[in-house]
Amino acid sequence: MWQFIAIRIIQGFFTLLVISLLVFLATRLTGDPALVLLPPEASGKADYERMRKQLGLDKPLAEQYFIFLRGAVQGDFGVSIRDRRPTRDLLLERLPATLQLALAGMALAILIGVPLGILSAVKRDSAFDKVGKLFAVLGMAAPQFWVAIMLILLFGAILKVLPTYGREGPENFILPAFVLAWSIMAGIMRLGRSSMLEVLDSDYVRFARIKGLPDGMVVWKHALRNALIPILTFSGISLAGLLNGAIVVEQVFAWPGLGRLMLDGVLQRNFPVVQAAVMASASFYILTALIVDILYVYADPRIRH
Amino acid sequence: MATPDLVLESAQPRLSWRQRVADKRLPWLPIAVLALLLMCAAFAHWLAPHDPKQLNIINGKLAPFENMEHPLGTDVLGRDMMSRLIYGARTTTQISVTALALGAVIGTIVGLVSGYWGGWADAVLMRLTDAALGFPTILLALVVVVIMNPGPVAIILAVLLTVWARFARMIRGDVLTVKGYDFVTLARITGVKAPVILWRHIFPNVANTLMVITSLMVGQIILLEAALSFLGLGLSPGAPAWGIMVAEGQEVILDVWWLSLFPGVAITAVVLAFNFFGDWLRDYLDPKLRRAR
Amino acid sequence: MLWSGIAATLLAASLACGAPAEDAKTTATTDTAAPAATVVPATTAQPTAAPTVALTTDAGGKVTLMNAVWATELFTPRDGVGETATYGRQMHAFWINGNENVQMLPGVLTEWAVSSDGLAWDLTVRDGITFHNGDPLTIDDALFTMEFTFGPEAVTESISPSIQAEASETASIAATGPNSLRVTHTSPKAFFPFFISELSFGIAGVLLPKNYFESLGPAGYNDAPIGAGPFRLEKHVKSEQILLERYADYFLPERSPSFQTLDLRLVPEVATRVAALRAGDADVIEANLAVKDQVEDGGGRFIWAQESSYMWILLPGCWEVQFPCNKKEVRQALDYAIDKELIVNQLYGPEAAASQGWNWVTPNALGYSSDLDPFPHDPEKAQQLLADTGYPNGDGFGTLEVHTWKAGDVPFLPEQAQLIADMWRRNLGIDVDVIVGEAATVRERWFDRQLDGKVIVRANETRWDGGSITNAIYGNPEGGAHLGGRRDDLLKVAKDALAVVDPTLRQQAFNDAYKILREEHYEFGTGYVNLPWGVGPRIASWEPWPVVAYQTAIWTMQLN
Repeated sequence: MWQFIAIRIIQGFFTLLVISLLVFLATRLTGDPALVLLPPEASGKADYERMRKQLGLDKPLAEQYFIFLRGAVQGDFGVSIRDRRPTRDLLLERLPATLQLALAGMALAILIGVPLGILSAVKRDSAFDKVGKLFAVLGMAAPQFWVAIMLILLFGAILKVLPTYGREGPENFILPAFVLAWSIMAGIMRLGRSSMLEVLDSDYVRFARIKGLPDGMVVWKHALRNALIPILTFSGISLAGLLNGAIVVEQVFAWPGLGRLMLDGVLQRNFPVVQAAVMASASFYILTALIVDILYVYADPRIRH
Repeated sequence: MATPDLVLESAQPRLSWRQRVADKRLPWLPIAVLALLLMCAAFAHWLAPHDPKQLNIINGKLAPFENMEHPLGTDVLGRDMMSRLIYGARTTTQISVTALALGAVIGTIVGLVSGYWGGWADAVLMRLTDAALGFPTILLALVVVVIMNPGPVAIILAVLLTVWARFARMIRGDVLTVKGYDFVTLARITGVKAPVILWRHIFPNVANTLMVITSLMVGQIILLEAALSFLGLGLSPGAPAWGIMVAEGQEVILDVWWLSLFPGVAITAVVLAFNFFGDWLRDYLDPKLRRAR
Repeated sequence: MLWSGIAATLLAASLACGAPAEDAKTTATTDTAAPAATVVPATTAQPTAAPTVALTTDAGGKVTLMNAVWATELFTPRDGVGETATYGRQMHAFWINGNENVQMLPGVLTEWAVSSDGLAWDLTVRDGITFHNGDPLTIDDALFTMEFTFGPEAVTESISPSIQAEASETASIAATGPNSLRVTHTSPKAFFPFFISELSFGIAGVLLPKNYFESLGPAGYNDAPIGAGPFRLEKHVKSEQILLERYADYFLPERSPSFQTLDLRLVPEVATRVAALRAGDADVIEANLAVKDQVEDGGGRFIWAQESSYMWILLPGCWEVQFPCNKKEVRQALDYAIDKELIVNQLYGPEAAASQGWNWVTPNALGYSSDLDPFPHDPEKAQQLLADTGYPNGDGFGTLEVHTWKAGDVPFLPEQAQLIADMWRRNLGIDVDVIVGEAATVRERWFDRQLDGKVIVRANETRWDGGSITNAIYGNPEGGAHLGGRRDDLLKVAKDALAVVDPTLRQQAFNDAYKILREEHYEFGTGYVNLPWGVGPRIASWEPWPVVAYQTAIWTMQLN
């Protein structure tokens, strides 16, 4: 077990190393931030050279990469090109907003998805089952930004029951969290449903029923226990996905999170910001995957061998 | 030497094609949607009543059914909505098929090699795969689009860069299982060369997984194209593609509602159809899973 | 718009030749060595655009205003890039103010005057100004700010290339009396007052409180900035909200806002901003033409800031002989072949845009006259010109690539490029490809000379005084992306015009130069667009200035 974990951790570091090289090269391929920063009519070579020197872009690529790696190891991702602020500060400013939203979305997805899945298993092949399934899958199939804008217009501008933007209070979380939740709900619902079906077919449920325990209690207790591990692992992976994929939702709901930081970083060729954001979100993804793997091994000893 | 086919078929009794279709309750609706999609894609130039890129600004913002010349109305610049939708099916199909085909080929090769040989090749390839999976998808796409200029090629490449890793991961898992089967061991002992084993014995047994991932992946690709368009880095504005149409229409959604509604519905329908079809395919190919449905 | 900073200093550098002679006329010099009299028409200095005198008591009321882009969200003048103006303008006092007619007015400075050699500017600081913490604004604050903005440190520490360049040419900054200071440059800087006025870009011309700033340091100051402007900062949530409260002791009561709270919000999506306006969550939003009906259906209306951007057709590299466009007649043919009125009216509508002016020389800009308006649509003449230069019906012309991108501020640029391409195909018979790229990439390729012989269709912010653009394109021998010094005759035309400092003569000088440059057709345009602000029912009136893309003249905003 410990050997397995150790190997996975070492692998994780290698993966991060590969990602660091990829993101470094990818940003360099997107162009020259010095040119982006220069005003449109500036064309003096001197301005340009000075700018490159300030940004450290006149150094050889290998040296730039080494500087990036050395800093990254110490948690220092350099200074943002746009505003000369430490990139770490920018990340820490943005991270809470994204984390809150992703967790809220995840919680909502579980709160709606699991009961929906269980109910649709209990009422298998009924109209409820079909409508519920369609509802969950629709969230996965419709473009997120389209859904987001329609919801803002409907609940914000027309019905005027929810705020259109901002993140002051809990009511601000409802719409963006729902948009995120809806996109992953189908998966959670399916897990809930299949766990439930398994439970319903199992001997101990039949036995409990024969004993005359109330149907509802048996169903909920056993189904939930059965569904817990797959739903947790699915949620872990989805959470990592939500952190990466929240760009669109953040953009529509004016949510100042990591996603928008990355988007602006790419458009402005803000290399340090892009590098830091990618390393942060990749670390999170790898960490989640690691935990999920460990959980699996823990839950199913057969995998260990 | 056992043929791979036998391994597959041993799980279920042999039925005629007709019986199997009847038994499995074909998902007619998704199939119809997909057939319509492919038909539009193949015959767009015959089916579309107008040139989808033709600007006709005097006839801008025509509502659906207002003028039967443009049955689904026109956009802000007077382009025919119906033609754009039909050509959009072609663009969407082209992008998805190309990206998926390339992704599946690369991913399958990586997965086969990695799973079959193991060792260093596996370690290196899987770290690459993990890296591709850990790289934020939209960000990767943004970077590719920025490097290459927005357009179909950039989107295909962006999709490809994220998609191959998912194939590689899944296929590798399957290979690890199939590798342990007797007929593979037997083939190895009798001195069959590795490429032959991979192609003749292992690949046919992972083909099912391949088909299922493919059908489920199409939706992701269409949605990624839409998201990129929304962020201003998709296909060129005015290109007949559903993603960019929804993105263009969302600004005026209350006023010129049909601009984003029709392509939005088209995207949703096609993604849904592929998902249902993929689900069905999975059940069909793997009887063990059928019960979970 | 990140690059919207003006390289004003590049212009000033060009004034080296010929400037002193012109200077002498305008500044009524009494002694050639001593500072000259002020250039400012102090008697006409009162702003005219304040319909109601603001109250000195708590006015009450709150305005929520939504922008699409903020800049760095930093508050020192060194951080003065384009959109810092959206919030920095509200909180800070400027050295020199301006009005909607492009006149410079006294701000913190009551007078400014240049020496006859153009090297030294003498500045007089107003008495009785207080910062938001109650500290008086003294000559120490003035010196400190000037040193901070243009001193040697700023050459490397400023994030703005324009400020870096300006700072690198600043020789000394010193007090000359209890209320006056002198800034000396290494070369004549006729542009200096404009650069530190609110008419310039960003917040390069704002004042810092010395003691407060020094006690906190730059990072601490940016977290809790104060200024001497009409609003003080109450709350700042990065990339989300900048909440400003009216500052009761603002030194220009006629420019004090008529309401208490200005709540600035950053909302990148226009659809979200429209929804917020309709829901009553916002009072003023940055809008675009496409959402007009949605704003009006929701009980709001549009208020236009005139001439905020111009639409630009550039022919880079045409000074190289291998391109067909090397011939002036070819360039003119391309212009004649475009029906600008049609494009402007159909894409933007008459309220949003007009085909008037030449590039950055829009009707409110310095140097404009109606004979600079675009060439007429004349396909026959265009065909004739093309045939005369050896490309009858476009034969032998090759394929012309039109590069453009989807701009944030001006909608429909790719569509416009398509329409232009269509007209060239139809009227001239040439092959045209439209290539829509990503903004920064296209710009990079253009600067890198990869787009020579091709066409760029883009938008750019207008400028009151287009001198900096004129200088960069025609007056800068170093220029690589633009014409640079490749046509000595045009270089001279530009430099002669730019050397004129007297505002009254400058209009004519610029106008003469623009007529010559326009004839050359290295660049032309379809016209300019106005920026619409979506305004909700709570706003009774507002008169934003023309030729600025940011919210201006907040003090003219009256609530219901």
